[in-house]
Amino acid sequence: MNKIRVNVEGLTKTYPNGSKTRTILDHCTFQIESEKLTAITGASGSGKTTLLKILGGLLQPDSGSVQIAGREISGLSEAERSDYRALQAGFVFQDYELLDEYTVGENIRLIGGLLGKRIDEGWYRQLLKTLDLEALEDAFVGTLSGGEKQRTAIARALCLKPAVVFADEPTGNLDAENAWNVFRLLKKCCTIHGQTILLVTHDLGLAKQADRLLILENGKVRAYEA
Amino acid sequence: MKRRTGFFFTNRKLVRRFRILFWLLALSLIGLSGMERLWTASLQDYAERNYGLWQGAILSASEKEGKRQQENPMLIEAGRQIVEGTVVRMDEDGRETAFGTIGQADEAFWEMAGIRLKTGELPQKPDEIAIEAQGLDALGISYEPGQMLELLVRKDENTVETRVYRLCGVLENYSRVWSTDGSTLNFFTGLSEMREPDFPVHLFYTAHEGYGDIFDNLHPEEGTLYQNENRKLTQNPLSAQNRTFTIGLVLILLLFGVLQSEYLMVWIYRRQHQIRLFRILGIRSFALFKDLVFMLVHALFWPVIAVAAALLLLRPSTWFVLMLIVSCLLLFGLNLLVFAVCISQAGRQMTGDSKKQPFKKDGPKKPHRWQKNHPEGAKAITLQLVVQRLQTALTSKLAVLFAVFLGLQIIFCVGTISLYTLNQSRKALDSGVDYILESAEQTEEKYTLEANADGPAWTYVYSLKETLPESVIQKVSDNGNLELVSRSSSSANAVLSWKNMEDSLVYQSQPGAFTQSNPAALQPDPNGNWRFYPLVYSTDHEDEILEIQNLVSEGTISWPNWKAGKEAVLVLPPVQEEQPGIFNAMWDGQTDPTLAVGTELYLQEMDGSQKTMRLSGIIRTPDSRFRPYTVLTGGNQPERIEARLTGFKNQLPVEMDLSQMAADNGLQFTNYAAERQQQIQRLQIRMLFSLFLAAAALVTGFLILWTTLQDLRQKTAAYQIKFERIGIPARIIAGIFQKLRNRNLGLFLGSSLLLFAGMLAGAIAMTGPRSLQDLMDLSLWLATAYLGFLLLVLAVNWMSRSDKQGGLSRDLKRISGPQAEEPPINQSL
Repeated sequence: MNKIRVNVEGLTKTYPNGSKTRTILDHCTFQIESEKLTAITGASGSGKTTLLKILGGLLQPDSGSVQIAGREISGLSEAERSDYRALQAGFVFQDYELLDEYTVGENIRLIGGLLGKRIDEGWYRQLLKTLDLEALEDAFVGTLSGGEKQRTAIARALCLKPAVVFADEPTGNLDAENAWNVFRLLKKCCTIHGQTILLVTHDLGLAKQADRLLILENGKVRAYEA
Repeated sequence: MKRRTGFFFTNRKLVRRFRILFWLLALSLIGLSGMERLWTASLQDYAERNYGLWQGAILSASEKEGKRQQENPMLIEAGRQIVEGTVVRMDEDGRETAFGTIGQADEAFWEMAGIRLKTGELPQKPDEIAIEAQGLDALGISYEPGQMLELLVRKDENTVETRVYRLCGVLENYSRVWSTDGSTLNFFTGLSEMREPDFPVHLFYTAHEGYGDIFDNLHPEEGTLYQNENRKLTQNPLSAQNRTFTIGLVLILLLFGVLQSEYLMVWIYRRQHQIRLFRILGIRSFALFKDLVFMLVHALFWPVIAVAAALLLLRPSTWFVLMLIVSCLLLFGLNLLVFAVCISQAGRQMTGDSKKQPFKKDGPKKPHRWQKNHPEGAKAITLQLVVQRLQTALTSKLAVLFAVFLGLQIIFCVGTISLYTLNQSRKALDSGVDYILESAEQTEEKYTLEANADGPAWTYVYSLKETLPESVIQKVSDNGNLELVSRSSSSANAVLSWKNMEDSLVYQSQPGAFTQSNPAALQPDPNGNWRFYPLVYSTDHEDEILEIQNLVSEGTISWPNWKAGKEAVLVLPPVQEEQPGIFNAMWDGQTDPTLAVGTELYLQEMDGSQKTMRLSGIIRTPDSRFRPYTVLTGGNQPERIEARLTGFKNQLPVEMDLSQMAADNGLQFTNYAAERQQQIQRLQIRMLFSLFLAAAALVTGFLILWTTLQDLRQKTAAYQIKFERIGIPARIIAGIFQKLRNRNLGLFLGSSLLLFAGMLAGAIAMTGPRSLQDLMDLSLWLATAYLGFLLLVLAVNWMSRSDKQGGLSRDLKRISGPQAEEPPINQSL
């Protein structure tokens, strides 16, 4: 049986709304197993991104507990959360957020380089192969297509072997074919590299193909197994 | 092995630009170093030709001392003079006048000395002699070589011998321009094997390469050590000869510094979004800064090696190398500080629109810093919690920023206060004196008291000085390179008397016992009558006159009359009789009852002439400079003139002229020019450093506050909207409101207040002000130092205003697109 990688209990988050407060997440409780692709979906404004930010250590919840790989992250200081994001979390964004002036290889290695971490060359090569980026290693990002950019972004997120990868609508800017390709690659990463991935998406078709589906509605989370 | 990857380090264009920039900088510096080296070499050559190659000299030493110094591995003997005696002449009255020292010099001396011949050649045989022009002038001998001279040479106290020489050459005057107090030989005979071993010798040395400072620590057992100050080139970056290179260096560094800063600041500004992305991905500002430093070091490596190699090969002056290193380090440090602030600001600011954000939704409101670790609410206050919060505070950015502001202000204050103090010293030095020409003292025994029942036999020996010839004063006045500072005379050769003098304190003292406060006071004249010989001091030095004006406590003086010698000021402090007949100036002593403003004073000069003066002013304050009963008046023919150079450019010819004039007229010539020049140079270097320190602190503070205000303007727009909602459509109010809430400005003002209070408290504790006036003076002084920082804040505000109309903001906006001016979206990081 897979281990629990993400354990959320009684998570609550509110935003101020004039003189009142608006509850985005209302005592949410759920677990995510390791080596699984979990999709999070819901209507606009349902709190998907907020949940992703809390899990990614970018936001502090109002109350509740968030444990990633057995470590409580809700009470961490800003510096500790920085370290958590750098070493335990990987991020994939809809707009890729790559640096056009650098090559694919440099983009992938950049975070490790800035952190002063030694890149596992075997793992790096394996990633390039899995994501079909070997031929593009020395190409500048500015010259790539959307799908190639997103694959590069996924490789960057996985390069330091994070505990969890948070993908915020990674297929949002891609056509259907490329979206499916990216989705398949993310699943492949789970299978081949044993990665835990949380995917936020509006695309129910994709979401249904995930190992697990979390639907956010009225601040509550409903979980569905594949 | 894989190459290091980094945001700045891997950016090819950035690295290439910086490499080009640093290579250009390196080449400019190498070129400047080469030019400085050439210039220094020509100056050194000039100095050595005029003042000799020697670096240190031990004068009036012995052969034994010479042998002792031979064992010193750091010294090379550059030449020696053997002193045989003094050339003298007896007048009809049997009085002896000295004309300089005579002796031999070895070949090494002639080679290194660079003394030029006016005519003839150097002495080759023992019966040949070469003489300095001033020696011949003083003896009244023509410059014609070949003539036979008969000289009277005093070898010691008891031996005077007559020697005959053939004049083989006339030397240009050198002894008075060398920094040896004119103690070197003036009459040179040829080398002779037959010489007495106990003749004193003058030993001249140079140091081995790299041991130039040996003379600072050399302690000869015999003789007096002199250093060739004239040979040393000035190490003052602001001196006339170095100024061009200083300006060149500063301009080059400023230009490249500004180019580098401007380029990188814009580069970072354009990549704010990427830097923020790094922050989201967990990269701290310090990691980015470290990467930037790596990039700079990488780009700098070979240019620095090239500059270092060039400096080793070209070997420019020490001051140039030091200034280059210090300036580069300071500039580089300053730039790094600015870059650190830029990176920190870029990571914090949210300037992109929502579509450009990695996450699409607005973030939460930033929690209070105390609440970050305690989202569930307040906790019970425990010691652990207090310590934890203290640690958080000390390591927070606020504490660091506060420390930075405080540090900058301390540096600024230290710099400005030091600059102020140094400037005062500089002013004092500027009004100093380079040359003194005074008539030689002629000692004469004048009065002798025979022993009697009251005391033993006692002889009063006094010195007489003749006045300076008018032609000398005129020549000095007319010399365009000289400024005549003062004409003065100070003698105790005139008899002073006044009505009822017998009732004065003067006559209450024992004969000669009053000497403790007035050495030449009451003496018997040749007829045995007691006469009063006080010190009569006359000056036209404006500063001294001003000092006298300030000291006068009684009477009204007509200063034109005073300067004409018609009125006098008498120093008449209260005196106390410490022992019977011995008086000293005291605060609570007696005052002389016979002297008051308006009293007629009679001054009888040595030649019998009598002058009547009105006592117009009295100085009652005891002053260490003026003894009691000193008569201060003007109009006397000077015995001493003081002059200073208007510029050090023509120092050598001026010194030659003055020494010649002194020799011609039998005057004493004292030269302080080299000493004063060195002191000025040392002060200038320290002033330059203080100025740089204060300016660096000011510029850094400016840049930090300016960056803050860039951020402020964006936030002000948001506040303006809020104010408009409640009916206050004023941007100014929004600006003030935002500024009041601004953290950096608050920290700046807070640190200012703390520093000001600290300095005031420290100053009070140290000086212990005795009155409210002292306290006010102190506050005023410190406030002056703060004026600079006030100007800084005003300058920042001005920049901020002018920037709205264009400037850097406009350029940045053009470069980075419209998103740069959007209000903040996400405050989570």
